[in-house]
Parts: sequence; structure tokens; C-alpha cells
Amino acid sequence: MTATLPETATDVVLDVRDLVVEIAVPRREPIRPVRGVSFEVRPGSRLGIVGESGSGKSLTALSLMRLLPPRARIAGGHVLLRGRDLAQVSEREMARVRGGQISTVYQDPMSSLNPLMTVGQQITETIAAHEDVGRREARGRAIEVLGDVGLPQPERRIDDHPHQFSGGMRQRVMIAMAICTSPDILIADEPTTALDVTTQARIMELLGRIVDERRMGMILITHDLGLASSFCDDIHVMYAGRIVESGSGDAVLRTPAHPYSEALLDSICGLDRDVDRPIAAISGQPPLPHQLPSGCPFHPRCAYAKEICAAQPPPAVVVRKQVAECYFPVAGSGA
Amino acid sequence: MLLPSGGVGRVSATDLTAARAEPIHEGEPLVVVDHLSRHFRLGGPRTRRVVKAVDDVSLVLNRGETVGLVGESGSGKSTLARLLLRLDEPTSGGVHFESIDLFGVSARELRRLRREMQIVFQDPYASLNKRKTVEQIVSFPLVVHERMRSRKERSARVTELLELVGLRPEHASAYPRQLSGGQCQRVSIARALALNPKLVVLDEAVSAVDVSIQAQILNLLRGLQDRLDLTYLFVTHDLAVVRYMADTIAVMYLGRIVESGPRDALFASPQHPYTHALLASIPPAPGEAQREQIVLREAPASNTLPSGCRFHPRCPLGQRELCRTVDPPLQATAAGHTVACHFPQSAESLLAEAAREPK
Repeated sequence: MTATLPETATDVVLDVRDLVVEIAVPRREPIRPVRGVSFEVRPGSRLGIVGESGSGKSLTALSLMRLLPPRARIAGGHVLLRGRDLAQVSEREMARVRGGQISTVYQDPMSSLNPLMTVGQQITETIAAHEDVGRREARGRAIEVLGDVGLPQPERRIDDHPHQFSGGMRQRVMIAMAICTSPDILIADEPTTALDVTTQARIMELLGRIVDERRMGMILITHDLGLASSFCDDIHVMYAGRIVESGSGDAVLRTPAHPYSEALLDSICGLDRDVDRPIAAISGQPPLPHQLPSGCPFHPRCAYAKEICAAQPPPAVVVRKQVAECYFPVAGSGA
Repeated sequence: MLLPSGGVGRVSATDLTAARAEPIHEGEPLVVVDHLSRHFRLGGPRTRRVVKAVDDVSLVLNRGETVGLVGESGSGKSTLARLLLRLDEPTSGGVHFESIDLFGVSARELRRLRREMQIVFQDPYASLNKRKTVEQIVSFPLVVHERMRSRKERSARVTELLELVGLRPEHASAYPRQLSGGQCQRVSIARALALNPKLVVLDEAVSAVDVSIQAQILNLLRGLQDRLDLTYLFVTHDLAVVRYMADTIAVMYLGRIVESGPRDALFASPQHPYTHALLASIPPAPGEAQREQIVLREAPASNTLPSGCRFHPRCPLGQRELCRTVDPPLQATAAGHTVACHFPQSAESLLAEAAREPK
């Protein structure tokens, strides 16, 4: 669209710039649950978007697929997939992108799979929708991809229905469906939240192996900062519709720069915690999009807040190897 | 199997534990679960498939203490919680609440007992009536059980309860949709406390709330326990949370308690391979080294109970003859707690043995 848009770096597959999502509210100003979000995804890299409910992380993910709920729309910014702005393309073109170049693995495999179709039918349907292949070939590919995601005896289980699988296996089927068209971008929206804890680690392991082997760019959407930092190369912490801190998973986990990231890490109930002391909880509630505090959206809950925090939105500053939107970023301990 | 009585979790004499009010009846059992089973028949009249949701479980809840019940979906932990409140009837076995047989009492007596035992559910939005105000929700138990007709009296009590759970009096006129998840969960807790219960069952009470709110609720629950001398059954799948909350912990797998004991003993030296796997599945905290993964085999998707040890199809050592044929009983370990496993051992030796095991 605009000729003034700077070039995307050559190794970037998906380049999201200043994304704004608005939701229309009758007789009132629209609310903005996503307020200027930017990030880049490279092939074979893992990007984590971390936030609590209402932070805008899921709407960001849905915007990439243009699957926003009614009344919500992309009100600004660009979603550049290999240079093409998905915010601008026709619905018809978008249908080819979804499931073709960008796929999603959702939280609950049981509600994302069709209970009346065999898993084979669902995967071959996806392949046939995006590629010009015969039935026999599509079935062969489906068996292959089911094997790739670690389903035992795929040639036999391909004709089973979703209810015949355990929760973990169902999520493997979902992953098979998402990767069967070899997409450039795989979005995983809370992929393990609905699964048992002992299964979660194995599904994350599988996702990691797949993005490495197939050189896909992966976006992990989660509320779990611990999971994101151990799995992802880079993470973006979202709060009230903004990315408030971004940096490598390791850096954010060890030396968080934004007071919100720090407080979030402190409030996690870990195994090494002294049980005789109360957990350092963050006081208050996350703000609602129609009642955003002035200045920095985190200031009413922030331990370091000063007058200026309520007056003006903070600038993005470089802190160590991270970028944080904060006037008073957390100093690293000794490092 | 009876759990050891006495506040083991409180032996460590730090400031906070010392500050806790120590009531005279500390350590006395409030609820005794005795060989309790709940089996469900599945399918039509001719199928004989039975799901043993709770299978021969014994447990003691001492006054003023928290028992943590840990397990994944399908372990039977919620069925057990429901039986404890007599929201369901057992197939065999019993529950005694203050020495009263919960399943043998008259309807009238049960009604009285119900006031003593309350529950907080996982999803605060689903468990609150969205057409009622917070005041109506919290005062409903007072109307039902105490026939509290005076509006003024009810209002005063609601204000008191809201304050107790960290809400403001203005919240009384709000509807659930106007509140956040964490605030709704506080309303659920206020409702549960309205009748001054002795036992509160917390069924995944913090699993659906945001991370930043979870800590608030956990701290609140601990504070309330101290102030009101409550006994908790804390049901969860999260071992890190249960470690923070419980004095005694019981790990359930497919209807059976597979390991239980005082918190410190259980976390210092877990013995059951399933407990090891649960612990290994917690992502390491900042600065903590990656734990060695104990990889479980995929769960069988069928509803049939495995022969022998019910955990053997997923166990790293489960291909042994003994495990496939003999159901291990709960036995006391050297580490001071009980475990149902033929080969109880530490995580390190389990990993070493698993590596030698034929695949």
C-alpha cells in the first residue's frame, strides 16, 4: 500500500508493525485492546507473546489470521507476510493464507476438531484445500505427517475419530493438521493449557522439534512467562494492549527490565519458594481496555511508580539487552 | 491408611508460623475418609464396564490444616471432593465429619452439617449467578440456612464478608460480569464463608485466574485459614501451588492415592514415579537448573483399568512382571510417608534404572 513503508529485513517472514485493534461499542468511543504492537518473525525462530487475560495477546494472534470477532477490526498498522500486507488483502486471498501460509494450534483440541469426521478426513481436507493433489496422495501425506507428530501406527489410526484419542494425542493431531501444508508461520495459542501437566512438556518438545526441522517461524501465545522464557528465543511481554518488554527469553527471565515482568516472575508459585512467607503478589487488577489509567498503564500496580508515570506514557528504552517501556526500569543485580 | 496427625508443616518455627493462632483442638481429626470408593457403570444395561473414579481411598483432614489433593484430569480428585460434601453417594466406604457418619445421617442432620462444609469451584464466572448482585449471591446461604430475613442484617453481614476477602462495600451492588476473574473468585470465597464453615473444599480454586492474581488469592486463603481456623481440602493439579498451601499432600492417580505424607517429607524425598513425573513437569524457576525429565509413556485412551499397578502402562519401569500383575498396596517408606509402588526410589535412581530398562 504506502510507498513510504521501510523495507522488511530479508530474513523476516512476518513483520508486524504498529498493529492496532479496535472494537466498536454502541454509542461510545471504540475501545482499543491492542495499541500499537510490533514484532518480527524469522524462519525457524520461536517468538513468545506473554500476557494475562485482557492483555491483547490473543487478539494480536487473531489479527494475523484476520479472524477477529465481529465488531473488532484492524484499525491501524501492517501485517506483512513476505512483504504482502495481510491487513489489506481481499477475503478471498486471506482464505488461502489461513491454513496455508499461517496455521494455528488452539488451546482445546476437542473443540477444534470435528467430532463427526475421522482425523484423516480432516487432514486430507486441509491439504486438498490448499494444494492440487489427488485423494491418494493427500492420504499418504496425512499418514506421513501423523507419523511426524509422534502418533503411533498412523496408517491405522488415521481412520479413527477424535474421541478415540487421548488429550495429548488429540493435540498431536491438531499439530499435524496445522503443519500439513508446510506453513511459514505456526501460531500456538496456549497449546498446552487444556492438557495434563505430564503431557504438556512432551507437546512443547514436539512443537520445538517441528519448528526446528521445518524452519517454520513460531509464535507462542501464553500467559505462562516461565514456559515462554524456557521455550522461546525472544519474548514480548504484553500489558494493556502494549508490548511493555521484549528481549531474549533468558534475559527476561533472569533480569527482567520492566517492573511488570519482574512482579509477574515474583508472583509465580515456584517449587523453590519459601513456603512460610507469603508470595509477593501484584496488587490490584489488570486494567480494562475502556478504563485505561493515564500514562503508563501499569503505574497503579507498580512498586516503583512516581508522578511522571501517571502523567505521560513512558518511552521505549534499551535496558541491557532488552527494550522496555518504562521510566524506571529494573536495574540488573550485579550483572 | 491414615495420614499422620499433627501439624507437620508447622514444625519449622519461623515468624509467620509462630504467629499463627494455635487452637486447642489442633491436630484433632475433622474429617475421616475410610476406604471410600465410588464406581460408575458406563454404557447400557448389558455392558459391564465400570470406572473406578475413587477406589479405596482413606484420608484424614485435621482441624485447622490443609490437605492437598494432587492429580491430573481423571484421577478422581474432584469425585472425592464431592463425596466429602455428600454431593454424591459412595459405592462403598464412608466419611465421618466430626465423628458423624455423613452418609448415615437424617435429612435434617445433613442440613445442619451442610453449613459446616462449603466449596469454592474453579471457574468463578460459571459458579456465580450472573443475574444476581454480589450481595444477593453472598447472602443467599444466610437466607437459606439462617432464615435471615432482615435486609439490614444481611447487608451488614455481606459488608463484613466482602471486607474479609478484600473487596470493598461498593462491590455488593455489582454483577459478576462487572468484576474481574480474581474479584469473582473472592466473591465465591465470601459466599463459602457466609455460614462460618469448618471445612472448605477448594476445587482448583486458583487454576482459572491470572498469574498475577493467583498469588493474591493464595495469600488470602492462607490468611483466612489462620483467622477463622478453617480446614481446607485443596484440590489441584499444580504441585508448586500445593506445596505452598498444604500441610499434608496426597497424590492421586486413576482413583487411588499413590503417595501421601507431610509436605516437607514428600517434597524432600518423593518416591513414586508418578510424583517424580509431576515434579519434573514444573518449568524451572528463574536461576534454577533444568530438571532431568522423567518421561512418561502416553496414557492409554481406554477406560479399562490396567492390571497390576494402575500406573504401569505409563511408568518408566512399568514393564516389569511384578508391576503388570500385582497391585501395590500403600506402604510406609523410610522417608516418613506412604507410597503405593513396588520400586519406590529417588528421582536419580529412577532415571538410572529407567535407562537400563529394556525398551
